[in-house]
Amino acid sequence: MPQSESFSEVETASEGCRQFDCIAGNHPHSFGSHYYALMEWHFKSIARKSSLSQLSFNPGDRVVCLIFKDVEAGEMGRADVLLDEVDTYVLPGEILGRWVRVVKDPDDESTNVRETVASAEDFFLSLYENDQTDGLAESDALKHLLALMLERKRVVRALGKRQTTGTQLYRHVKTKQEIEVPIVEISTDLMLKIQDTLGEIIL
Amino acid sequence: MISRKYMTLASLLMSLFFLTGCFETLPGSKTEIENMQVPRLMIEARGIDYGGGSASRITLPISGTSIKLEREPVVGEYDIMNVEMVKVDMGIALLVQITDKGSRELYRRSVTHRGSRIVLTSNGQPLGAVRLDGTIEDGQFYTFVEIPDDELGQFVIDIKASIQELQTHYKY
Repeated sequence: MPQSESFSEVETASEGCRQFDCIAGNHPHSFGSHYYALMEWHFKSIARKSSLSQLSFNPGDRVVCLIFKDVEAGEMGRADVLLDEVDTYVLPGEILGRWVRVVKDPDDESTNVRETVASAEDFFLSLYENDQTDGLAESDALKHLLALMLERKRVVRALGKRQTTGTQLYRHVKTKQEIEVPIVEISTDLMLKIQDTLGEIIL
Repeated sequence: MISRKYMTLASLLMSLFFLTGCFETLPGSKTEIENMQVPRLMIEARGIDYGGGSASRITLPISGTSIKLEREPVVGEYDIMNVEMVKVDMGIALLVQITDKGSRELYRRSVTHRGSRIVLTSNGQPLGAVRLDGTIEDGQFYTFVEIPDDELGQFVIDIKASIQELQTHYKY
């Protein structure tokens, strides 16, 4: 019987299969029950006008994207303003990070991957510019998430033993700067919020 | 003009020669696997596909579940060390054991792509899918597969033999 030759019991199957117990949704597994409530990612469309002046963005404009912790709503918010407006814009919360993008022709669907990586890199580094944001759950989650994305793109390199709890030290390849990144559990809800807010720079 | 044509032909042949040299069998190996199974772990593409063409849609053979996958694997065949059948509460599943390099990539994706599905494929054909709802840190990936029970044993034997062949007799 071929099956017996390669069959191994896993005593701790229910523990070991944590990730797939969850996808089973505690329903009996059968091939017919391989249905999933398809979770759609929701992407915030890229802002077409300034959050401050309400002026429409034109192709070639440099726009600053600001990510902040909205005090009233208690969650992440985003504001897009023109580069020369950024100093006069009062954020309704504490800034977490920022990046700059150049507005493209709306008919041009293609996105330059290099620009996306550069935006993600700018945003990641900006998360460390404001010390006051240290310890904020959203800020820590963003640092962890962006570090993993940028590690895959070889913008940063993990140093030492790969950690899955606590903190992981990374080296920013261009500047040789060493950066400590908190490792935090990112819930599906938080991931959805992050996707919704950062859509275009998610790698 | 003629010599230019010959030059082009010669350069093409040289390119072919070097390309075949990039993927060669090691000396002394003549093993051939009858039912070569090349396993890969693929990931569901996000809901946004800049410019299109970076994803392809697959359909699982029995459930008919349709999933849009990124073209590049998360874990390729050279980073899969072993595949075992395991018995769990809800039936027989496959355990895919992954190298350190592959484990790190799987870990990264399990964080950054939470909510997406990982699909086990063999020879490009989808076999089973798992939704990422937690981090996978140990390089051990479990999945149910859509293969009839009476074919699963032979499939695992084939895939184990293929992995051994890939890891011992082939190199880049």
